[in-house]
Amino acid sequence: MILAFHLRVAWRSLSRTPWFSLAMVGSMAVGAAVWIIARTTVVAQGALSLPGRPVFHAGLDRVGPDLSEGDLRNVQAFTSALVSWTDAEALLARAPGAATMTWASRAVIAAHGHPAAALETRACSRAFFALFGFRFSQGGPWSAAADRPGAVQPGAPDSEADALPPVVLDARTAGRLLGASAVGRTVSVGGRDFRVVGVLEPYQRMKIYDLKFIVQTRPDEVYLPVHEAAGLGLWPEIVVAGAPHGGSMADLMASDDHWVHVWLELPDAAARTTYQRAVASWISTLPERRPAIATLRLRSADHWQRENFRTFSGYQLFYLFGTLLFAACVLNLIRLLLAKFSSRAHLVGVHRALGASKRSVFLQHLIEAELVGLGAGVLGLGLSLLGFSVINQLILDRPVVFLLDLEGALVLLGAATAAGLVAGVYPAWRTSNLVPAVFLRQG
Amino acid sequence: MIRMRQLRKVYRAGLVETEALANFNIEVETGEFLAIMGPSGSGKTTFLNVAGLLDTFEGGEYILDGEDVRGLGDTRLSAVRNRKVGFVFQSFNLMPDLDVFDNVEVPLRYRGMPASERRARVEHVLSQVGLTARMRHLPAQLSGGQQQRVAIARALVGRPQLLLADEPTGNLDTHTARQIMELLTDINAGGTTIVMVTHAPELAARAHRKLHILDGKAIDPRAPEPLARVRTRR
Repeated sequence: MILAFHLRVAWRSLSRTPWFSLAMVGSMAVGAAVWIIARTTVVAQGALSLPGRPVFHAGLDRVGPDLSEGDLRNVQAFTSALVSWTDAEALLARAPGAATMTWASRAVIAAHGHPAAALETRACSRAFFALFGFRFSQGGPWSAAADRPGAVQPGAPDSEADALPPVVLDARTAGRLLGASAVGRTVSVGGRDFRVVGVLEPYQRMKIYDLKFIVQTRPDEVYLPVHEAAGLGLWPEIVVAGAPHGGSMADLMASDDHWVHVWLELPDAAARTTYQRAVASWISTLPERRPAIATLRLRSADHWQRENFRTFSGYQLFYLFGTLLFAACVLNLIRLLLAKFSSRAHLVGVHRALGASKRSVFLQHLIEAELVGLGAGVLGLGLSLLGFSVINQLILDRPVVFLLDLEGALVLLGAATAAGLVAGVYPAWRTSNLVPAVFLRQG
Repeated sequence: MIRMRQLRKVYRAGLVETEALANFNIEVETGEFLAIMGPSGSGKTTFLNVAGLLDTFEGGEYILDGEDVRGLGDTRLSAVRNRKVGFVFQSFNLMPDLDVFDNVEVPLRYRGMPASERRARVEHVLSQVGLTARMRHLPAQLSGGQQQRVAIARALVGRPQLLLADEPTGNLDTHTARQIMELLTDINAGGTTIVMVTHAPELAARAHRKLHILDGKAIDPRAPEPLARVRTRR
């Protein structure tokens, strides 16, 4: 009850000086917006790309006497990243836990009432979504069974919808093709019907699961189980050709061409050692190939990222600048609150005379500062949306389209309200500790 | 109601100390109407502030309604102030952006009183001061006399035993001042102890007793100590 009263008094106090209040809220909002934009650019860079998961990229180094030094360098560059279908299957078969192969392609997608369009498509396993921290706004990933070849036999299961292979869509594609509720609906991919099982939230981390030029030029819109993608003949965006072959998808899968990424989770050093031994044992059984497989190359996600996604240090400087600006705004708010509270000290004296304790006065002023912080958070959301559109146009070589997602919005609101709290503590404490008689003398 | 013994109040500004109340002794009986007079700077307002627990004091003893207020924490002091003391100021000191009802309600808010009881109390006290019709007016929409009535209503709404009035008619014309004095007299007749600071002898004459404060000392005309023996300190 008393809190509602404090809130009302605080609100009226802010309303009494609208321009001054707007200046306080506005300056904090600018600081908060710049900070969240700067933070988002750094987070998207990837230091936080895969929080808490020991994810590794598995590649195969190759050597061969029939390769020139230049060819070897070129081949190494890709073979350290890409493996053939058969090698990928062998690497995945020995993985102790979550693992996926993945490649990028394009497929023609159609939904009822929408013209068919070629969309960026990613072939992957169910584990892909968890390994790379994707979050679903609707539904979830497909079942583990759907990762097996021939998992779905048309006509066999109970219902027609269950008979369809699964597909996951990104939020924008789902909204565009199917509206607000996409899960359970049917889309046509490459001329075949698929059932939507999940819709992803916008991915606000660096997409490190493919080569940099792939993820920077094509936002994934559709996700299919690898066997379904292979069955549709979804040709990979990049293929390092080996020996000549017939050119069909089946030929590609049987060939020594390199086009698949393999990612897996290895929880600890023991698991890594065991996996390396298992792969080495497999390599030793392989018939001689040109170029020959020499060793397994395991790279942690961080290592892979450092190697393939060299980031611009300017983002860190921008973040530092944003943090300093935000801190300066908090200091400025302290100054403004001190001025404001001093100007109405006389009324504080009256409240004290009527029975307000120091704690009440402190709380009342802290709430006022908190309202400023909250207002700055809300205004900061709007300013940051504007800022993101500007920064996306200014920075062309960026790992992702910088967006304010739900997490960013909550961080912004939380930071602004926390800043309001921090800024309000000293002015509120100072105001509450002056002797009431001194205030009244100012009246 | 009030008993101060050898009370001392000092203001400090840097290295300079000013003794606003020195060996200050006073006793105010319950139900009494006391008028405090004295020249500017003599310590009248300081006495009211200390008496109303709005200011601290350095030495001596102060018993308010049987309770020794020395060493009480802020929460207790605020509660005592809220329940036992009402203030009426010369410049009314109403909250400019709260209407009459809300202004009068403030002390009850700090008491944590339920809304229904607050409403009944506020309506009752506003009818006492004849301002029921102005309940939703802002202070700026009222005359000086009406504003002072609101201030008195606010002071009375918590049913305090002690009303401290610092020149309550100082900003009012003669006619309105007379009305306010009549109101205060009625309130006192209802049993509330009133201590009123005033410069006007004709208003002080309506009190039960007059007391002068000079150089931080209380000079009771009934007391044997002659005015001439009071040491000048400032």
